[in-house]
Amino acid sequence: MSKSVVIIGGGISGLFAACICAKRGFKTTVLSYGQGALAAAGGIIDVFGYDEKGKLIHDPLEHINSLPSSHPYGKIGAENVEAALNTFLKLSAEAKYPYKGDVHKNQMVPTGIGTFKPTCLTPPTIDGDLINHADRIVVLGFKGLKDYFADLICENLRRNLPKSSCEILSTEILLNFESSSACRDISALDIARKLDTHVGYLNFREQIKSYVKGKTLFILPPVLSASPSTDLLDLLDIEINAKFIEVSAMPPSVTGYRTELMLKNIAEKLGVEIIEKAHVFASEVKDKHCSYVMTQGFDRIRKYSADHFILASGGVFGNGLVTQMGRMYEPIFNIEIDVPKNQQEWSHQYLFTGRPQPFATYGIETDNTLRPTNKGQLLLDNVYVVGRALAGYDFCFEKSGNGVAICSAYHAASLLE
Amino acid sequence: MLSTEVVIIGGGATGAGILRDLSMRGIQAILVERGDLGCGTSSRFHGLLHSGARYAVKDKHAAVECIEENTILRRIGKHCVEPINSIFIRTKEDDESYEEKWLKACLDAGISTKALSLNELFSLEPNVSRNVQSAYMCPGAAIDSFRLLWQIFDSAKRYGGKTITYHNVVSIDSSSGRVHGVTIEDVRTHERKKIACSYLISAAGPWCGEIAAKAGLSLKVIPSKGSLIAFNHRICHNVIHRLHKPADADIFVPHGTVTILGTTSINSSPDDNSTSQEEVKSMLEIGKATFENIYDYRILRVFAGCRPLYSADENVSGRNASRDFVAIDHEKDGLSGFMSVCGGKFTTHRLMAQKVCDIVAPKLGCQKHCQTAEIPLIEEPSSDLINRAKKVFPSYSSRLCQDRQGPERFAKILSNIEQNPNQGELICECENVTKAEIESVALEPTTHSISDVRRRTRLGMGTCQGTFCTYRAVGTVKRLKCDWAEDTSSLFKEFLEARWKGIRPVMWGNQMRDVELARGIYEVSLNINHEGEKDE
Repeated sequence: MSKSVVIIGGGISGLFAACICAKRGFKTTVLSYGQGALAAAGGIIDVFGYDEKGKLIHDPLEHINSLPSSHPYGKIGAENVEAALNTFLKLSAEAKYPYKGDVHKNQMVPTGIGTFKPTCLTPPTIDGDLINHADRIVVLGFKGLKDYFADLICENLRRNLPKSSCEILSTEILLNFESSSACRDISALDIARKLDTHVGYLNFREQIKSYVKGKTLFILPPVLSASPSTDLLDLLDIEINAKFIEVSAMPPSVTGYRTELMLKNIAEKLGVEIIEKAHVFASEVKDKHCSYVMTQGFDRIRKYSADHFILASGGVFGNGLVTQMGRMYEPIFNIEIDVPKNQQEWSHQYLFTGRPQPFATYGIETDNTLRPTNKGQLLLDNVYVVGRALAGYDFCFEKSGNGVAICSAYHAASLLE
Repeated sequence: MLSTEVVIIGGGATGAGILRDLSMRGIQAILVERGDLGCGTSSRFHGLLHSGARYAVKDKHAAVECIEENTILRRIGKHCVEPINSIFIRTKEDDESYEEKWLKACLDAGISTKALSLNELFSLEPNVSRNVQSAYMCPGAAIDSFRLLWQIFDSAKRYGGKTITYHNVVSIDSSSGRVHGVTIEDVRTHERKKIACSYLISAAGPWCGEIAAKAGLSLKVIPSKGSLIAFNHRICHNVIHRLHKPADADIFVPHGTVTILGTTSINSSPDDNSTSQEEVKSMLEIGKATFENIYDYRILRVFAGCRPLYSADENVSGRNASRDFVAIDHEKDGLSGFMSVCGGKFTTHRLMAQKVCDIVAPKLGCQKHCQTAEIPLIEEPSSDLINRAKKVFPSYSSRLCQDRQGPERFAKILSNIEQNPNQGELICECENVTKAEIESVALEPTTHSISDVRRRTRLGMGTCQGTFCTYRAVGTVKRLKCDWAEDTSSLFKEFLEARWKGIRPVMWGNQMRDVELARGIYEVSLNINHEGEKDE
C-alpha cells in the first residue's frame, strides 16, 4: 500500500506540494479552509526581486546561491529551487496554461499604477517582454469597473518608460452591466466571465479593434477569461493581431484565481483528494511524531491520519500563524515563535522603508528538510513546513512570495519517503 | 499686505470658536493654522461631549458649564453629535462612598442622573462587565470633532471669517509695546507674508508657550499627553464611564463604526503624539473592569493628543491641573494687543470663545453681543434634496454625506451623482464615502493631501485603515489634476504611513493580518517602495 500525505492548506504551496506528492505516488489529501492567498495576491511567481538593501536583482537563481541558511531558499538550495521552478513551468505547459520565464532572469512587469516590478515566472497573460516590442500601448479601462484607473496607469507609464518612442494612450470601453447604486460593484472577475461568453467577446473585440495600429499592446485589468486558458489570447492574436498584458492591484485577483484553478485541476487529475471547509484545529503528536490532525467544519470533528504531514496553512494573513501582543504561535502543532515581547521591536517606524520589516521575517524555524525546530532541536519528525509560515524572509520587500511557496513545497514533497 | 482687525493663531476648537464668534459680531478676523484645520489636540481626544457629570464632584463650575454647552452643541451642531447617552457604572473596584457624593454633586450642577437597574443596564449594554454594582444614565454624547470644527469654520466663513492653513507663524511684529501684525510662512513654498492687525489671539493650545516666546514672552503651559485606543466596532451603544474620581482609561465612546477608549495623562512635549505599548497595556488592563472581554476586541489603531494645561503653579501637573481655561492678556507683560488662550475642554470651547470675545470686542470698539449659541452651524438640507439623494446614493451614505458636508456641498455632490451614476461608487466602504464626495473635498483650496481629504470625509478611518480605499482615493484625485496630486508614490506613502503610525503600536491579531494584506497590495502588487522605472 502506498504511503500517505496530508497537506494542511489549499493555497499555492499546498496545491503544488500535493501535485508533487501525487506524482511521486503518495496517497495525497489536501485539507483546505477558505480561499488561499492566491486569490488575493496574484498568479505571477516572484522568485527574488530585491536584495536586503533594496537593490534590484537581475539573476534570481544566482542570488539565491548567496543566501544564508536562515532564509528558506538557503535551506532548500539553489539546485532544488531551479528544479522546482522548472517543474512548475512544465506542469503549467502540460495544463495548457504555459507560464513563461527564465529562472536566471527577472522580468519587469507593469503594475496597476503604471510602475514596474521585478518578477520571474509569469502566466500567459502577463508577458512583460511585450512592452519592449510595442509601437503603441493602449491602456484599456472598463466603464463601471471598480479598482482600476486606466488614466493613472497611462500617465505613470509615460513617466516610467522615458526612453520609449512608443505612443501611450488610454481609453475606456463599455460592456453592458446593470449599473446602479442598488447593484453591487463590478469587479474584474465579472468582466472576465462576460468575455468568456461569445457575445461578450465579440462586443469587446469590436470596441478595441479600431485602436490597433502597428504593433499594438493593450494593457488591461485581468479579464482575459476566468479560467486558466489561453483561448481568448490566441483568438485575439489571430483576429485583431494585438498583444495583451494584464495588470492587477486589488483583490480579488483573477490571475491568482486562474492559477489556483490550474493547480486544482492538475492535482485532481493526479488523484489528489481536496477537502474543502476543513478547518484543521488540532493535532495528535507523540514522541515528535504526528499521527493525525483534526478538523472541524460544517460537520462533526474528523481525524485525518497519514505517514507525513505538510503544513501549508500560510502566515499571519492566512491564519496559519496567530499573533497577540508580544506573541506569535502556530495553532495546530502549538509551535511558539520566538518574537520580541516589545511590540516596538517588531517593525520599523515607517511601513515603507528601504529594508525588510522584522515582523515579516517571523515564522517557524526549520532544519534544511523544512521540519520545525526549536533552537536547533527537531520538534516533529514527519511534519514539513512550506510557504508563508516559514521564518527568515520578507516576501513583500524582496518579492519572493510565490517563489518560496513553490520551492519549499517542491522541496518538502521531494524529501518524503 | 493682508490686513485685518484680529489674527487668531491655531485652527483647533478654541481658535475656531473665536473666529466664528468675532465674525458674527462683525469683527474682521483671519485664523492662521500651521497644518490642516483640526489636526492637533482638538481631534486627538475621545470625541466625548461631556455631560459634566465627570467633573461634578471636583469642580462644580466646570460641570455646570459642560451641561449648558452640551445642550447648546446638541442644538447648533446637531449634525456632529450622535445623540446617545452616557452611562456611569460603578464596578467592584470603585469606591462605594463616592457614589453618594457624585449623585448629590450632579443634582447641584443640574445634571440628570437616571438610576438603571442592572437588568436595564445589561439589556442596553450587553458587553458590560457583570461585576457592575450600580449604573446611572447621564446626558453625555459622542461628537465628531473634525466635522464640528469644519462646520464652525464654514459658519465663520459665511460671516466673513478667513482661514489660512499650512502656514507657520514666523514672528509677532510689534512696536512701542503694541502688537501690529504677524509674519507667516507657507510650509510648502516657504513664501513669507505679513498680516497687519490690531489684535492678536494665540489659541495654539499646547503650542501657546512657543507662540508667546516669539513675542519674547514666557508662558507656562504643561503639555499633557493623552493616548487613546480605537476598536473596530461599537463595543457599547452609549458612552460608558466609570463612576469614580476621574482617572486613566475610564471612558469608552462609541463613534459611528468604532469605539474609542481613553485616556492617559503624561507630561510631554506638544508635538509628541506617540503611544507606547506600556500605555496600551495599562489602558486595556483598566478597561477590563468595564468590559471583561476587552482583550478579544480588535484594536484598529492608537492615537494621542496633547492637552494644553495651564497652571500658575509650576508644580501642578496631569490630572491635578485644572481643566478650566485661562485668557492671559499680555498687557500685564508689557505687550498690548496680544492675548493667549489655553486650557479648557472641547465641550466648552464655544463658551471660552464667548468669554474671550467679550473681552476683546470692546477693545476694538465693538459692543455687539455673542450670538454663537443661537444660530445653528449649518442649515438643514431641504426635504427635496433628501428625497432626491435617497434615489441615487448607495446605502446609508446619503445621510452621512449630508452630515459631513452640509447642505451646499451636499447639493453639489448629489447633482454630480445624478448626472453620472458612477460618481456614486463607494471609495471608502467602511465609512461610506462616494467618489463624488472625495472629489468635492479634494478640489477645495484647503486640501493638500489624502489625509486632508480623510479629515473631512472619514476616508480610511474604518476597519480597513486605508488598505482598500487608498488605491481608489489616489486614482480618483489623480484624475482631477490637483497641483498637490502629481506624484503617485508620495500620495500613497503619505496616507499609508499616517495610518501605519497608529497601527504600529497595536499590530497583532486581525489588525496584523490587515497589515499583511496592505503590504501585499502596495508593496508586492504595486511596488510603491521602489521607484517605478523599468530599467535601472
